[in-house]
Amino acid sequence: MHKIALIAGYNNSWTSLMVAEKLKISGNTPKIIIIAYPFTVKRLKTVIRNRGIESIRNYLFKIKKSNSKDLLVEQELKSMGISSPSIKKWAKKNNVKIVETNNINSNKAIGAIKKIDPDFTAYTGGGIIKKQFIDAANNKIINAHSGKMPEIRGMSALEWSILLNIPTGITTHFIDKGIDTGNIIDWKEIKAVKGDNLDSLRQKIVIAGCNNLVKNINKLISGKITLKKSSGQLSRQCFIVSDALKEIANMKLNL
Amino acid sequence: MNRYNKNLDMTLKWIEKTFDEHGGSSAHYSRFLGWSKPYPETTGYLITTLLNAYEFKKEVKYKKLAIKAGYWLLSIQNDDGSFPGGLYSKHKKNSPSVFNTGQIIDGLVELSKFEQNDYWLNAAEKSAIWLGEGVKEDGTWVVGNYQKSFNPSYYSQVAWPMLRVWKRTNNNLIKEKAVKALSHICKKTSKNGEIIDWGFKPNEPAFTHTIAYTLRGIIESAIILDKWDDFGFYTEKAINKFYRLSELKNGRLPGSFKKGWIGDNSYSCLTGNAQIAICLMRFEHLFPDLRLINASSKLVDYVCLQQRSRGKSVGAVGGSSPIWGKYMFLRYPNWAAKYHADALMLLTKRLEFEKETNA
Repeated sequence: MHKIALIAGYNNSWTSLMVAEKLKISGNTPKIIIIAYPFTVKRLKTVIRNRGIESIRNYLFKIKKSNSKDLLVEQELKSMGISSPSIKKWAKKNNVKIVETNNINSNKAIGAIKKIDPDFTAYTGGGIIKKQFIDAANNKIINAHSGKMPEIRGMSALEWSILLNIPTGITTHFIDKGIDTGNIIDWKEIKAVKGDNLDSLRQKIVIAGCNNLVKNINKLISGKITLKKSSGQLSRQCFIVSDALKEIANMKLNL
Repeated sequence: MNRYNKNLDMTLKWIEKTFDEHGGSSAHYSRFLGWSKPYPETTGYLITTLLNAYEFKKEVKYKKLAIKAGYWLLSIQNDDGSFPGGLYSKHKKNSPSVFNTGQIIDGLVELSKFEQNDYWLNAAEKSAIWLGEGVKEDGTWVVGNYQKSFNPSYYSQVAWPMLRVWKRTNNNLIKEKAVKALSHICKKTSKNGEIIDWGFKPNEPAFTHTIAYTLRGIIESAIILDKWDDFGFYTEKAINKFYRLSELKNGRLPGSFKKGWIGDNSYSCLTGNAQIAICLMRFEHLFPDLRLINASSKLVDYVCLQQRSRGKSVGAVGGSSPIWGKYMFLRYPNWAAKYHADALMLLTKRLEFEKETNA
């Protein structure tokens, strides 16, 4: 029996729940789910100091605007009989241990992952993971990144793929101490079709990401995978796309 | 209509307001002290902004204002070609200034592109010769410094206008001296990308304003000389550092930096923000990468957010954000508006280009 762990960014995450449910269906129910909430008072203070109070307002505004991003995932899970996005409820029902923390790199989280000694850990959110946690997870944390690696590293991967004329899709990869620099497990292209906008394409990519994460964990377990070393010169890291550039990405997608 | 139109219009209107009836632009505005005296240095490089605005907005009033500013500047030019430092006063003539002369040359060269005679170019060449004659063998100036013998690294922004004159006149003496000054500055680049002495005073934190002067001067000089590897290369680490910082701080750069890239986050120097945005865009012009434009747009967006949009001073850009920050405390310098307008025009053009090439 293989030991799988899962990391989530918050409790009501449809995508984390989808990965958990699909792992269960494939016979590899996670032994533990670590929920690493992104907000702490300390972190908020740092953000305000570095970026000003308006950055919090902008962030909350963006979250409100992007509430629809998990719509397809939500629909699929509902069709599977899951109506609430609560990971905690799901874990209780499936007898999976839950650890809640404000920092994925905390002693609490590291202690919990060490205790499980997982074969593989599925990453579905929860902040930047540092070396100590990666080591504790046996260097086998797997992520689905919504861009082609190594060309697209970092945030707003879909928008950047469009802006930089790189195929859109999902890279499944191991997490190392860099930002999207770990060994590549698999790449799947997801093309936009006529009528797609950023939101609809993103939802398709999120679904594909969940499926590929689970599929590749299962392949790794059965040893049916050849790893591809991330090689060549690292491309410049991508950050959240600005409103001005987002406008251009949308325009390019609609051509 | 582009997304930055409103801010650009406000900024240009404010810039117009800074000019007096003679053609000099007031250095800064304060809600408590009102308008300062005209500042020849910034009036000089505001000419470039006005002429860009004339081309950008197709409004002849900007060209007329630029010409008026040019005549005013020539009326205060010294016989040896230099220009006085500091704020202009009818009653007291300040000593010649290397840096101020350089910035005024920038405007004069720009005017020479719009007029079919050599009037402006001759004046610019005379200034550049004065600058060239002052450069010593080691690439430094002894006379005309702001701080006695201290040669700040932002003198790269003096080498650049000198090279602009060389490009139009083929006066190789000017080129030779500009290259000497530039080489001296580039040698001061540290391993971590910092350039020693890029602040107003030695061993003190440098405002992003003077850091950006330093970088821009080197970048533009390297472009004119077509020698990126010999000069521009030295800015690459700093450019990449500012790229990351601009993104990580969502467009709000620290106001100044101590040695070791230790930023002062208690305020942001708004003109520095806009200037760094320009540096990133100019770098990107050579090494295309929309990620750099993304960072530039965040820097510009931040300045837009901080720009005055109500009251008597609509369009003004503070020295610092918050306005009581360490750079130009409680004042709205004309050069903050200048660099904001420059950044807005450059960014708009780049975004339009991207749209057109993909249309």
